[in-house]
Amino acid sequence: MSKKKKDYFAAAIFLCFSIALYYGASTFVVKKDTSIALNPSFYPQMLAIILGVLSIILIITTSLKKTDSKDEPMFKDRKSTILFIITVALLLLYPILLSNIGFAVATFIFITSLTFTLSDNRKQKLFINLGVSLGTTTLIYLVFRVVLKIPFPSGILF
Amino acid sequence: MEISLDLYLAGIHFFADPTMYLASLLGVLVGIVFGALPGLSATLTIAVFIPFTFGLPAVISFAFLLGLYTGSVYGGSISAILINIPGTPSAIATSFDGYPMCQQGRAGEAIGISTISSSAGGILSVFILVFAAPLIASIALKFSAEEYVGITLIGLSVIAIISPGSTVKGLMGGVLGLVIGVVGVDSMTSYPRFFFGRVELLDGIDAVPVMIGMYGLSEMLEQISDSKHMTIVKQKLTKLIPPLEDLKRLPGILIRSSFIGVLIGALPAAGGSIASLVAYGQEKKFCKRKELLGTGIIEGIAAPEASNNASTGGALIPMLTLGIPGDAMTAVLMGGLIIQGLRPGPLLFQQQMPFVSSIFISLFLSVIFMLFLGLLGARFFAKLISFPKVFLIPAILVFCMVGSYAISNSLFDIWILFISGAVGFILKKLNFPIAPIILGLVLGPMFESNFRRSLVLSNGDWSTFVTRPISAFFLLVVIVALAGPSILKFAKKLLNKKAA
Repeated sequence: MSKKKKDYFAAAIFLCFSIALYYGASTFVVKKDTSIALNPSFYPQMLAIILGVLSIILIITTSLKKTDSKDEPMFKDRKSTILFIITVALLLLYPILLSNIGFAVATFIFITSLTFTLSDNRKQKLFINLGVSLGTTTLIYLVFRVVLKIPFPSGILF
Repeated sequence: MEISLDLYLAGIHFFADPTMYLASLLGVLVGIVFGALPGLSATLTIAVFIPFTFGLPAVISFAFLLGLYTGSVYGGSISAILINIPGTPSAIATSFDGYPMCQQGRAGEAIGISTISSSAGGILSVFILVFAAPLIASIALKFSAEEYVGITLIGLSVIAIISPGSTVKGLMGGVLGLVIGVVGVDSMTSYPRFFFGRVELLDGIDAVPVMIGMYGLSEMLEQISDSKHMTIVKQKLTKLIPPLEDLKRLPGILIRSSFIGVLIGALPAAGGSIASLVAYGQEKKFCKRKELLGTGIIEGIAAPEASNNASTGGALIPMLTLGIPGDAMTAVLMGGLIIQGLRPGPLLFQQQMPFVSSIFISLFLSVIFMLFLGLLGARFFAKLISFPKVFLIPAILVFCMVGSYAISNSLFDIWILFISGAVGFILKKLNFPIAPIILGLVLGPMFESNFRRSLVLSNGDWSTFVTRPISAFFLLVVIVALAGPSILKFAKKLLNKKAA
């Protein structure tokens, strides 16, 4: 996407968001015969209007710009796109693992799989990766569970 | 308010506890390590660690957090010098002369100068903080809701102007931050707003997981999407202490740059990166060897480093006295103060003086620790830069998730983290700055209540914001700051036309 297109895109999203915010706030119960500032909808609606106006200003200033330039793509290449998707999937999986099989195991699975996903020539570095992942997990476990005593959901193992 | 020595010594008894020193030392150490690692900014470092401090007593937690703050601002210079990538944004100007020095094989000297200058800037800023903060707090006691509305608007517009990208985008980010603050029970009418049927949202969205998401999670995701997770470079350090004749040239520069740092740091929302760039710019005018700047001379490191560390104490002034953070880092620190149940502002100086005094002493302590750790550990910190990110990113991500969970021991906050991380990532890709969002988020609840209170007290009369002289002045500053650049541009165009 070019820089201009990105700006239009962002302005459109913000504009839609501000409209949704305005209408969302208009469903709030309004007390009559009080100062407008006492209505719960007053402040969010005011912010919605400001945000909407700023989005329109962004659209106008973007359209007035004569030059346009290419911007970096969202993802550098195919490989980084795949890495990104796997990372997000692992992130989403972590809280589920955390509440089902416990902190230590969930953390170890997360760190090991992400380290292997991100590193090149996995076969050569098999033991280094495994070792560092185990070390990191142990350190994190000691700091959070033993020193700071954060009450994580306990799992089947630790 | 009378200012006496008692004020400063009110918290000295906390320092009979060795834990305070340990917390400060550990904070500085972790701060330098994180600051030195490219891609882990000072703001990210503070955001990620805040959740782990709130179980501690406030004084110990702040000894640690201020250590982190000082250490990470300094640590950023190490990677700026060694690999030309500032470890944290405020070290940008350090790379101008630091990297050329490194290429000449004088990396050790460059880090030595950076350490000494950072400490000098840090110490001076502590002294200014200690004297200025109680004074400003006593003035701020007279402020009422209208003035706070004005100062908040100044903060939000300054950060929008100085953030990279257009001012409009910065303002949009600031408003987005304010909008996040709307979620939850309305403090004036107890009406639940935008809670989507979730009990967790009735108390509002906790600022800390949002900060961790926008700074920590989104930064890691960005590095993966840009394939930046593979870079490894190695550097060797030789001697650290520069020759005496070099050091003799520094005092003037250090004093000048430190004052610039404190002043710019103290402006609401203008932080270390601006301070270091301005200090470097000043040397281009006043330095005796100004023609050599940029080729690798120590003056070019001393100025920005003294200035960015001086801005740490400066930025704490508006945060502590007015509750308006001086930059993104202090905005996050303010989040740490709020989860401790402490409200920054002039009343803090009246009601919590032992705590405020402990902040002064802790900051001073952290500068001393920074000096020693910096000089003794430089060789070790330099090695960190080649630490593979493949191992770092998973660990940071776990930190982000565990930290968000730990605030109220609920998985719900991890989902808040994910949503803010995703929003932060997309906005970064769309060239939106993140700092204004964080500032808006932190200031949101206070801004809303002051704004609405002013209007309720004036019976809905908006002129209440301009009939009070101080409030009117603040609003004028906002208008000049926002409209000034465009008016100047327009005037220049007109003049050019006339000339042509």
